[in-house]
Amino acid sequence: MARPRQIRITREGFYYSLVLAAVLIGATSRQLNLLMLIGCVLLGPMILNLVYGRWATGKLTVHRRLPTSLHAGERLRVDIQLANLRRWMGLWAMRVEDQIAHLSTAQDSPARVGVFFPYLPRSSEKLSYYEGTLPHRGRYQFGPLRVSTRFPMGLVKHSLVTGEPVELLVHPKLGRLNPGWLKQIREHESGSQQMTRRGLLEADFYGLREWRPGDSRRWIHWRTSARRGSLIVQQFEQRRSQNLAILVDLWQPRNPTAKDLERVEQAVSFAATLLAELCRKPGAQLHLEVAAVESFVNAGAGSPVFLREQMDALAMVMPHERTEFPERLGHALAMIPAATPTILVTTRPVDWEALGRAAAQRETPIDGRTILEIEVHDDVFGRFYEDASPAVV
Amino acid sequence: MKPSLLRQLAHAAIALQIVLATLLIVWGEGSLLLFLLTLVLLGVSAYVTDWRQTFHLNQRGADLLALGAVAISAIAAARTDRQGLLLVVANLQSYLQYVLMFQPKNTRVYWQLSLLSLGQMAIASTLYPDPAFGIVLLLQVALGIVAFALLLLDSEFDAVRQPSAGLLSLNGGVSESHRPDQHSVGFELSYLWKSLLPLAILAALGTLILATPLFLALPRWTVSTFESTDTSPIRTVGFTDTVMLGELGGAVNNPELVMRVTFYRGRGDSAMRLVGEPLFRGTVVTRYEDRIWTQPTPSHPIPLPAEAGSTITRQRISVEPLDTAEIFHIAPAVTIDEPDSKLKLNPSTGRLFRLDEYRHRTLEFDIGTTGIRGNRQRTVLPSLQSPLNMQALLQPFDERAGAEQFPRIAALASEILSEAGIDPMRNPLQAARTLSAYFHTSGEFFYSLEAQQRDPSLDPIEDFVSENRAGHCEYFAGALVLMLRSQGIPARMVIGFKGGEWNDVGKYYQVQQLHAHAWVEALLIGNQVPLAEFAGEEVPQEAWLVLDPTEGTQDVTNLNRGGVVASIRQAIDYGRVLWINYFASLNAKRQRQGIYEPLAAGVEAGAENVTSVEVWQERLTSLEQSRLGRFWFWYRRHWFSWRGGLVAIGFSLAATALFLSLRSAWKMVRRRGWLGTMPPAVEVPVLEMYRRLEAVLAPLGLVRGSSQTAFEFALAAGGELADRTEYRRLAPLPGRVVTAFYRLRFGGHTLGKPEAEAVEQALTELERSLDGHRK
Repeated sequence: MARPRQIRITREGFYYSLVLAAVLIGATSRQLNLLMLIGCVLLGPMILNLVYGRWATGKLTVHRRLPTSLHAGERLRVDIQLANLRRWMGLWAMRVEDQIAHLSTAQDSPARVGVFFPYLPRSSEKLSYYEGTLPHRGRYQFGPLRVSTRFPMGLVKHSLVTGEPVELLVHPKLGRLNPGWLKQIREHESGSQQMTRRGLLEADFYGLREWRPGDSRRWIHWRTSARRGSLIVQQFEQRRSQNLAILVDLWQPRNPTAKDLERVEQAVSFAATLLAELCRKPGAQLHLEVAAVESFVNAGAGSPVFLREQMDALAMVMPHERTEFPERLGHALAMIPAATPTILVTTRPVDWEALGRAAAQRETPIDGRTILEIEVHDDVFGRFYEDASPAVV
Repeated sequence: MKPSLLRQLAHAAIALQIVLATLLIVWGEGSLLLFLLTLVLLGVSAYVTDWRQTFHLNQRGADLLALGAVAISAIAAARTDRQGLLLVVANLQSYLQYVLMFQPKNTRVYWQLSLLSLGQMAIASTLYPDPAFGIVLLLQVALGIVAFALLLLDSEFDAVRQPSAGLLSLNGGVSESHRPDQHSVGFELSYLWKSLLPLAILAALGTLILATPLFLALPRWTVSTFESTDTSPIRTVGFTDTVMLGELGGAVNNPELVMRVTFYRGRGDSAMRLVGEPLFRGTVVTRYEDRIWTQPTPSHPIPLPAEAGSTITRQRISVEPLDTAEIFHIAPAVTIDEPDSKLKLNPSTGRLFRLDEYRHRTLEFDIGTTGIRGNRQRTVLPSLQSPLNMQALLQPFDERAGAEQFPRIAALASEILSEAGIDPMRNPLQAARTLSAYFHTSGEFFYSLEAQQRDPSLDPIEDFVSENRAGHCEYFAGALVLMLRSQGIPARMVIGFKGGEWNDVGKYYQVQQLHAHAWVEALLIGNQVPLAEFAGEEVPQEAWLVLDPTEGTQDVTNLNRGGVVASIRQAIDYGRVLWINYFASLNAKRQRQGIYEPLAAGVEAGAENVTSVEVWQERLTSLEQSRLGRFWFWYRRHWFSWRGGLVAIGFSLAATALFLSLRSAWKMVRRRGWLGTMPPAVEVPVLEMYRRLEAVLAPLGLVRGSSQTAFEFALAAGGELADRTEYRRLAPLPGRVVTAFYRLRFGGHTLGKPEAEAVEQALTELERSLDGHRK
């Protein structure tokens, strides 16, 4: 547990203290008045450093603003807001340091990143920020924040640790689905898709917007229009059936190589990208089954909420090391309507026999089902999916 | 890359530190060469190494040059004395600074430069013990604070500008650290002089306040008086141990300081001022021959005698380095505690002198005198030596030839006394005073420092009393001595200083060369000694009557030479005295007497003040007698009354109303930002904000369609930006701006300062990033 306040003599401060001690001891032992005076005067800046830092860190507040959601590889921007509550004097050379730890991989020491506020006038606040990318999915811990200053001469560093650590769940990296892949999906869908045309009144209410020429009078929301004094119409979310089941076998060998680990991440990213793509068009019934250390299954209509839940789950999922093909994927097939196209994402070749056996246990043969197997180690995989590298500006 | 402005300013501050330290060394050394060389090299190195960056010394070259400087200094050190050695070290520090000046600068190099300046200050403290040293030291502190604060700011900027390698290596977690440029975090250069400079000045003053008591409290165990190192002595132009008439001229107008003298009654610390101008004795001359007065043969010098019986006045004499050994003082001098080994007294002449080895130093002595009674200098002094050489004190009138040699002097003296009806043999005291007064009252003699035309056939003093009756003090004194001797009264001329400028701030006399003076002592023997002058003392067998015949010298110490200029001059001189007494020459004795004992007494008095029952009783008594006390006692007798109740209620209501009014006024002041303590209300021009967004996105082809709401436009623009790799990071910004726009326009909300800043930051970021497209 870090102490909230810390005072540390810097290297410059150490040497300064040595010189100071030498001058004072020499002057006093030899009774050299003016050299004693130099020694006493040299004490001034040292004491000023000690006092100023304590004073400067005494009345301030610091806040951090994190993005609400973030995917691995996306640009992270963290706003740091520092407020000087002193009414009579400004603060100089304040540094706010944040520490970022990737909890999922249990790093020994967190990464540190800082922003610098050269001057903060009295009773004022300023905003600065740092940017970067978090390349891994999972849970990150930010903070606590450390406010420090070495002003004025850098002899002493005063630090104040403030605020509680906060966590940010970083979702899997999103890649890009190539047009060829989409075509294949549609080809697989064509046999099972049953587009349901519904009337607008049957659609889900989505929100309100201003009236535009061409809008139906039936869509006008009269109560809101009366309140605002202008015509406001209702918007509806059109449902369209694009059902899909995604099964993921997230396996890695007991002693994984870097390539194995990369495959796992690719599988997770691919599943996440697929879900994100499908959830952009609401209405599809989606089914996600992941075999992992803590396997999970989720099914529901594609929507932002559904997507967020799946991303949260995928962010934390860990690969399993069981050599036998997971039975639960076969069991899942039994639960999925036969007409729903299924994508099986694996990090190793699919053991169709085992899969069939598991499905047969639930008296649901897999023969005749539309199952698209995606092996992330396969070269063909690259033709459909592009791993988007983070943009570094 | 050119150094940043902060670094340039820091460089300038450290250069100034170097210049100031070198200036002090040069001042002590007396040669301008080092100073000029430093100035030139500072300029050259700043241009070629720091600004143009066309030349710099690498580490190996710098090391070699530094070794060369050390070698040269070692050779110089082997050929010099102790004081020269200090100068050699000071020069070596300058040489090392020259080497550092031509090296690429970083914080470490600046620290080295600054510490070398500090080393020079340390050496200057021994060479130049003047108050200017203290002022320069404070300036050095202020400059050091400014310089290293600027360097700190610069290095912190650098630190956040650089991507952190540690972040990458630790876990690859954050691949880049980024800091916006200075303006976006609200840094303005005006903060430097609006805030940093006052802070540095405040820090320097704080240092002064802190360092002074600490310095004064540090233990001293030496008891020696202040001794500066040997310096060039002042040539005394007014005072000489022999007097050659006709040689004195304008030189006596020299205002150069000779000494400062403070008088204390007994062992007390309360300084006093004498009535009339004090006469500070130097030496005496007795023999007059061929226009020259010379000293008598000196007797064997003795330590200062102790005097127990009389009331002693302490005189603290701080004498400058002089080319003569005399210690000018109020005679007769006695020792206060222990005889000072540096001082000797010649009893035949009353000459007090310091030993030769201390002649060229600033020295301070505490000696006593019995020559002051009350606050007035005595005019009759006991003779220190008995018997005296009467022949010498009557020369040349000890022989008949004297009257023949100086007939006009003898005739004038006889004429004055006969007119006054005084027999000099029977009443020498009265005769001496009458003769002395003649120079003041006759109206025939004039004081003049101008060289006078003298009859070459006559002795100058004969000429002075008979022909040209204008001259300076030596003519007056010489004439009186010879007149007294012509009447059979032994006499001698005393040479020293008279008066001095009274410093009302420091309560001391400041004696300058122009105060040099000569006066007369006439010997009184046996029953001629006036008993009244020695009331309560043992009456001596022989005593000297002090006479000052010089016309035109009045009590200048009583004149108001005032005015602001004089007061300032006195204050400056007093500051110098304080510096010498309490900084440059603070020793154990002065520390005990001047600091510890008064402090202990103050604490004791304070404690007494707080804890003493009697003191509190006195206070209560005075309180009772005050109006408040009388009201209280009236109130106690009438503890319940309608009138009192109404007054109390009225008072309470008035106090409450006053409090509420003040509070509302304070709130209003803060709300309107009159004091600048509240951040001004955030007034965001709503439409302007949105138009800026449209303007910045337009060059990318992102234009709001007629059927799009602002929010839809922002979402569409965000999507477009997200699809372009180079602008992906900007994707959330349009949404952020439009959300704020909706809140303001339709939500009836106001934006807090952080939100307003976030919007501004988003717009600025967009404008900056898309600037290329706009062009």
